Amino acid sequence: MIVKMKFLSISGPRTDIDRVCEVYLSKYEMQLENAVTELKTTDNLLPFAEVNPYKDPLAKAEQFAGLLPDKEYRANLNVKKDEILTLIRDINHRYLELLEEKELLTKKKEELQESASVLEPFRPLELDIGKALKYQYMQIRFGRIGIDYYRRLEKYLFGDLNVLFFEGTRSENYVYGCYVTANADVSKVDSVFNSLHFERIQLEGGYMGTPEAACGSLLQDVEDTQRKIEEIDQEIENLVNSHASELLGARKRLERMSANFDVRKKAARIEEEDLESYILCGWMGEEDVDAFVKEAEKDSRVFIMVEENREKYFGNPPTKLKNPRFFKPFEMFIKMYGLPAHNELDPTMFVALTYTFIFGAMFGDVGQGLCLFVFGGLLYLTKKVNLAGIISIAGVFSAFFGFMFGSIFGFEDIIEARWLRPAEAMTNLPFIGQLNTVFVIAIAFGMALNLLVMAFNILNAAKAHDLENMLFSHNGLAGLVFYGFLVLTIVLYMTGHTLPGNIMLILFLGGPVLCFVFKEPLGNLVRKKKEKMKESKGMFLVQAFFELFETMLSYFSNTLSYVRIGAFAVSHAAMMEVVLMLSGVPEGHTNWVIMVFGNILVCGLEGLVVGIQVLRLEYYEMFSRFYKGSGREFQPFNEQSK
Amino acid sequence: MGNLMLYSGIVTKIRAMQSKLLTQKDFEDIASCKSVLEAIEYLKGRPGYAEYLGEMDDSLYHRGSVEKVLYQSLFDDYSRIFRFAGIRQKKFLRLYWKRYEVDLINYCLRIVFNHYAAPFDLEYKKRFFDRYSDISIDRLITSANINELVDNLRGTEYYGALSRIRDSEEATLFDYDLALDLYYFSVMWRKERKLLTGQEKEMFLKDFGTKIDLLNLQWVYRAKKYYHMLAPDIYALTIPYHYRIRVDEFKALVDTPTVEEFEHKVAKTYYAKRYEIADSGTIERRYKDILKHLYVTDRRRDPYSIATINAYLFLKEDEIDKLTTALECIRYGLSRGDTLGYLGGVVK
Repeated sequence: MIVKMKFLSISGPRTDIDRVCEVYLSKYEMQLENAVTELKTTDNLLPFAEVNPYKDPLAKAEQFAGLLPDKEYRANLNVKKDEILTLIRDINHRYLELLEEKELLTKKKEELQESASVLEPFRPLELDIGKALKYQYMQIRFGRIGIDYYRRLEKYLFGDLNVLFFEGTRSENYVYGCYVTANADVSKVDSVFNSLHFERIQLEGGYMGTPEAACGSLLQDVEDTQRKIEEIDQEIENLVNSHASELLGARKRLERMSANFDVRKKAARIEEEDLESYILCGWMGEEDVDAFVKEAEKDSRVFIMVEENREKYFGNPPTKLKNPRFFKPFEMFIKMYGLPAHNELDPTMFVALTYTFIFGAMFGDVGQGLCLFVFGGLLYLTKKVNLAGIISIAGVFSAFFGFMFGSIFGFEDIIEARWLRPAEAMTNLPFIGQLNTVFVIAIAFGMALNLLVMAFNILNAAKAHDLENMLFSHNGLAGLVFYGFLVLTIVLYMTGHTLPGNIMLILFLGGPVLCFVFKEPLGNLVRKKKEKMKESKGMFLVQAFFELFETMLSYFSNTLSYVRIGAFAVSHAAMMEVVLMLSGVPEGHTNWVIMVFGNILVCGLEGLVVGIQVLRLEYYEMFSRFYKGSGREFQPFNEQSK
Repeated sequence: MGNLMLYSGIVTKIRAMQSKLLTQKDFEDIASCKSVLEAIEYLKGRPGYAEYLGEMDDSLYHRGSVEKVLYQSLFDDYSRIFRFAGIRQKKFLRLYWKRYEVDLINYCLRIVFNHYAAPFDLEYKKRFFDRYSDISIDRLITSANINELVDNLRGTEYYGALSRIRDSEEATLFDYDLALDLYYFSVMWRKERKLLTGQEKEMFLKDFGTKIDLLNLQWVYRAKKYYHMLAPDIYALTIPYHYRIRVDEFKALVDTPTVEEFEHKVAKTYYAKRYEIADSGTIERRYKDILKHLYVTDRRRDPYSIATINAYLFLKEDEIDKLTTALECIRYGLSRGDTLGYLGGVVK
């Protein structure tokens, strides 16, 4: 069902707007429209231009709440607005202090790491750096040399030079180490090493002991700093933890306050002689309006205006569906196709009934149906998945048809078929010959549904005051008469009765066809409009001919399309027969693994295919005849802000 | 016999190609040409270059464009041999191609460093490098400076060696050249030779080892004669591998105080004894002569082997070198005698 909507505007003193949002709009669902552009009848409307003061605290609150470990906290909602803002400010202050401290420590750690990495390649050297750099009669140079050049040193030069080279480590391209030479030879040795591209690395004199020890102590410092950084992290965590419930409460409150504040985006203000007031306007369900008006009667600062007969000023109302709980999951299918316009029928119930019924008929199996019911139901109740709810209800019908067809987990011999066995029951028809009974029934069912949706279309057209569509279109009264008479004729023929007389045929078939052809001129006639035909007569007839052809084809194909109901009923039996055969039931020794696996496979596969096929029948065969789905969704203000 | 079967086709092919090489008489004729145009006309009459020069537009009769054509004929020869080669021979040829890659990179380095206004003008080489090399000429020619050039070599084996130089900053063209050459020689000597087996490997070792030794001698000679460099600097720029010269022998050579003493010592090395080359020419010419001698004797000794390919490519390269020199001499109006002197490496 579609909830009837009313357009209302709320006004009051400007400063009162937040209270109104807090008190009323959180309780009653209302879709706000932009007051400045929508209320065309009122002058002097100005937009609100205020910066949301809760935006920053909210961002901070979200940031801190994000730092909380994943635990359940009870949100404390009993904090006052000022207290919330102070709390956030205090936490933020402390947090920034800690961050700064952390920044400094991180920098220090990087510096230490840097020095350690400089020293790192010299670790294997066993000498005291501090002392070595102060040798009186010798010079020591630390550095690195390209590995190719080092080889040349080894090969040609070490033999002739008064120098000792101590190798530290080697990387892919370089040898790290130091050379020691007497003061007398230093210039010669330096020049040789320079020629071979020895790059000196300056070590600071402050190190004590061997490179190994110095490096170790540096790394120790790095670790200490890291520990301090972790301590600060811990402190930050403690900080937010100690205020966890307040923070969560604050976040929730701030979200609300910020959202309520944003109502100004939709609101307008009026300035009249020192008196500033606000106007909010939008759509609300009829029942809500009544309750709202009643509650606000005592409130002297709120004025409500309900616009009764001025719908055309404010565009079409949005659509809000309201169906019994049982039908609720099926709203998903409607939303997928498009919501009904405000003056259309809500097809949810129709879809719910036909969908589950047809699904059951196509997938008749007591066992699998009950499985679908149970698992779908569990999933729906725990996770609120709409599709699971639909499957669950469809499963009930599946089980029902399972009884009718006498099929349980594919076994056809355990229970008696209450009605018929789809694969075996045959019917003799004149002209066509022998045919599965389910096929015949499926077609008949399809014809009945086609007639029903045409009737729906007539109703919809009547509601929308669309006479042309209601009377002359192939889904309107003319179509109903044409198709109905055709169905009647076929039924009479198939059941062996005499056909209606020729005059009747001409009257009831020819008449509607003429209506189809001259739909537009006739429509203009009943609407009492005088429009000239746009095309020439020849073009009109050619176009009418092809449209008529397409119409006839659609009657034919839409009807035949329902055969699939029967076809799937038969194929289910056939597929399960294969499973039984593979698991060896006919031979008497049943392989239960294959049996269970086969059942799961068939259930999943067929459930999927049948689900899609039925949806196709709904959307294509039925909806195309009566349903437009051009409505827009009702988006209440307090929900859209979440 | 195995080799005979393996090499019969390719050797026959090379023999046919060899007949198109220029003879000493041809060079004498070229040397007596009065202008570059005349020399080109003469070359048009020779089977080796007729088809390339014949296609050329008259307006392009310039030394630069003629040199391009000469290289094209060399690369075409390489392609022909490559097409005739079997799997083992292709391995050898692929190693051989690396020297052209090094040449190419050297050329590009020069352009980038000297900020020549002219574009790279490498279109004529592109076809061959696309087929035989990882280097993409399309990318190389977009380089505006040395950093981009090195970046454009990313993905090739040369990237490592060159990027190291780039990272050390303040590198000169000489440093890049040196790094590239050292990389080429050491990788070829230490790693690439492992790709080859059997006779190809033997041949490779002999040729390449000789080449390294001779190049080292040449560089030591130049360092002493023109730059008066000290021993450690000389060590830094020579190839740290030796084939027929012992390490102590090499050290002694580097440590000689004068050029005369150096030449005296060279006369005692294996090469001087093995190849009794008259020490009349320049050291560069002697280097060529020794290699030529080496290749040609190898080929004579074992015609159905990789030596034939090696020798042919060497002769062809040498011929192009000589032609280039000859055209330059003609351009600068040198007399026939002088030109021939340059071609023979003897300047009187």
